[in-house]
Amino acid sequence: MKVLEFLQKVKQNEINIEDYLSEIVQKVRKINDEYHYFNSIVENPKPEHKGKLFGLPVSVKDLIITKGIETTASSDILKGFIPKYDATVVERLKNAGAVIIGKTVCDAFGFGSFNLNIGKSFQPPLNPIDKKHVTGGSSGGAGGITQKADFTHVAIATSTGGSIECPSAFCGVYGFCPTYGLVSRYGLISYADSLDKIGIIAKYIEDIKPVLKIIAGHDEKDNTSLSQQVKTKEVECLKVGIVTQALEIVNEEIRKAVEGCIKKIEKHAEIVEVSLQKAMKYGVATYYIIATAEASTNLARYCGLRFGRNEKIESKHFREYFAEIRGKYFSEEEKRRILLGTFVRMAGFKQRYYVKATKIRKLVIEEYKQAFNKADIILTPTMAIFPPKIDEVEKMDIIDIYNSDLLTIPPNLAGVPHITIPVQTNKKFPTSIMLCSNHLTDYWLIDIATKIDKWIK
Amino acid sequence: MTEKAKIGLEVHIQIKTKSKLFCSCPSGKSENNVCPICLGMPGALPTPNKKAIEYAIRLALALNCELAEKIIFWRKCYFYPDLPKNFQITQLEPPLAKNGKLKIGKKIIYIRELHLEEDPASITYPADIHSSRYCIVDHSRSGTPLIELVTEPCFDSAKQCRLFLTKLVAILKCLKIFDESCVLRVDANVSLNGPRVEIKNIGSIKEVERAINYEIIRQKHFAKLGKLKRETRLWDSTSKTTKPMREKETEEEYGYIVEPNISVIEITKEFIEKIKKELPELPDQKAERLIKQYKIKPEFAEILSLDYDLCEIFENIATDISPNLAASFLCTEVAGALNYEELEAKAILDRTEEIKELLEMVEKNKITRKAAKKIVEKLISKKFSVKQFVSTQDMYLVSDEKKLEEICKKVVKENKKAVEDYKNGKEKVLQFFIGTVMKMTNFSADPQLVRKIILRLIENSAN
Repeated sequence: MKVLEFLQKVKQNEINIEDYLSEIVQKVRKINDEYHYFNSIVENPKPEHKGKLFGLPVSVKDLIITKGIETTASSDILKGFIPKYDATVVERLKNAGAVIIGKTVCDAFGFGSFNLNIGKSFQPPLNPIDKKHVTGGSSGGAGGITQKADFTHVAIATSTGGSIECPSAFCGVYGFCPTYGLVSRYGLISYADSLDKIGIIAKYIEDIKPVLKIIAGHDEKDNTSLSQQVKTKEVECLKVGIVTQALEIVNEEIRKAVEGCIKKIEKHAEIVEVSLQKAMKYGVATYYIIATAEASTNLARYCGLRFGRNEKIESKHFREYFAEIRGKYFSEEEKRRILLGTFVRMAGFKQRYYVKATKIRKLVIEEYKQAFNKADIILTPTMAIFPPKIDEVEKMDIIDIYNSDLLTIPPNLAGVPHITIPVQTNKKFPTSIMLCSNHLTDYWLIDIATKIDKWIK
Repeated sequence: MTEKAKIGLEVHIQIKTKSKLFCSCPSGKSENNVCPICLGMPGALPTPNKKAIEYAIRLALALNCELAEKIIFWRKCYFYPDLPKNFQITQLEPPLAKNGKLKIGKKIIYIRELHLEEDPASITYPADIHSSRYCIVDHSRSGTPLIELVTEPCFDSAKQCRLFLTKLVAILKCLKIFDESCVLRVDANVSLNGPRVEIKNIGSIKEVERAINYEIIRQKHFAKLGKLKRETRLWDSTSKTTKPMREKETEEEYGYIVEPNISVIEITKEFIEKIKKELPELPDQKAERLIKQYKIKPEFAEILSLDYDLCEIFENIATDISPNLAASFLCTEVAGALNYEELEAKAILDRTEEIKELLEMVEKNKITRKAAKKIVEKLISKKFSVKQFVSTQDMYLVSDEKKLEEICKKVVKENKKAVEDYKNGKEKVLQFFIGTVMKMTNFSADPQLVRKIILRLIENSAN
């Protein structure tokens, strides 16, 4: 049942919320035993307020702070952390009557594309279509439960370089990532603050807008939160921009499926060629430099003193204690990104890496602006590959893993809104197309995407 | 070794805003003033305090600095238990303001830059820093706004540093961005043309002078032994010495990046103009005005201009009392007594009327200035009626020659040796006689008359 229909039924007392929610908890537990989508499930979920989303079950990625519910970022170093406050999005959802049913697993601190980078206290989520395969990451639990749930539910997820888009594509659901600054980040555990966004994963494209309307909007607790209004756009004949280079690098089956979509769209819109040369060439490097530089400073606070893991400290020098805690509870990938990020901002290397990367990001934003002069939206495949098997990922080279974000990184770097739509293929797994549009045209993009979704079905 | 000392200061000034620099917790000492933001909890984000920015601009303008066009905050990254996020939000490039100046007498002190940053938590040790098995981190200070002011290494003595800091505090108080509850912490870089030594954590102006003087002597001594090295030392106010903290081979690595959670803040011309217009009278302007308006001596005008509250008292009584008497009494007797009791003039603002009454009596020759001094020394610790005090303590001026002559005779008689000394040319002895008589009369004797009588008595005494 779609969100609006569900809300209507709740309003008309056709659905008893209490029964519905306790039934959901049962289902979630059962799914979780098999697929591991949740780090924690709320015991007796119930709405705290009356509001526009009254009774709507929502899962929250475990990278977002929830008052009184353990919040771990799927990292061992935060295991046991029970926050005393709510993230702004959680507060807004609760105030609107939505119900938090649990915290979904993700790559630790959002560091990953396959949701296998998790602490030892957690279990990797399994692909809802075939358990031998990954869900994609970092919002793997959010993608998986959205596909697997046979009840009304929306997942709150986050993206820094593709963490909403990748699991949406691998699990065959819709993912939406807003303009940077449209949704408050207050209470989102920072990975790379200048890139982090909170967005939505949903089973039906129509489910995105009602939830976005609740969580979007200026928040004085987030200094980078935008105060401008979202724009609407009047378009006589829709111009859809295609990036040829993006189609050339993807898996053959994926390319065929996406080309099939383009053919169908062509009946309703004008297809134009746009260039995102810089974004395609330098995007991945730029992203990993900026993201790890920021991440390495954000993760400095995890030292066993104020929250999360702590141990007997007496008689130890603080450096020794910090090193011990961080050495023990950070995973290999967390350590890799801390080291990489520390290196690129060190005196002597900073100009060559960090400063240069921030300059290239500006060029990428400029490149998108140019492209949007030619096209209203830009269409690319979301992922170049189908979800790999878990044991295949374990054999993959780290550079290849980082490169798998090639198509999702550009819109994330530019901070433009983007949405992914699942597309059927001739293979076992579906794939996905990604549409992005100019800053602050978020609702318009969702409307256009809803049309396109119909055209390509 | 006769090299001149070369000293530069880094001054950390806590400013008096209602809330902290990046959250809405109350600033300054109070219980429970912590929140997820100043504790550096995961997910909490900083929001800059506009008032703190305005205050810092006020100081920058008062020190004739060039202001930056934009405020950009940075992360300064290092691990330390007092730093909740293990990075400090501070400024790097551009600093809020640079190239300022402040005149100390005839010398100009050049200010390299000033910027805003957050104060870390405070750490206390149950015992000595090196021997304690644990420390206590108190986060109530965490996130308090600080202005860091860096001077060029242009001081050549500890005294000059003290005078600069005194004037700086006077300016801060004038600007109403600082008061007794705010803390000033100073790091001093001291070198005698040799390696540079940084002294950290000096907590008051007096201590700055002590620490630098100590360090100059230590460096001279160690230079002679050939053992002087570049290092960071810690001022220990208990032992009044500097102690080694760490050796400094190279510049520290702070891996600065721009703080991505705070948007760039434009400092508009209109905003600067508005702050400029609201700037109060600053010490130099005040001293000039005092000289012009009250015709008092420049040295008194300077002292008054640097002590906001003392000057308040002065301006309140100078219309009724001779300004020169008021200024000299406040700057010598009152200032001296305050200094002795380690009090600020603010503590005696409510005794302005009493001081005025005292000086009126001095002016009308009802009491001696000595008596006024003795009374004011008491008045500083406790408010009381001075008129009543004068009459119950019998302090009204005595100019009865007969009565005084009796006392003088007694004093001269009891101090034959002193009389001899005077006759042998030790003229200072006269002061001793007068002083003794003053004390015996509870400072009520007319000193001029006593002088006359004593001289006559000595003259007449037999050889």
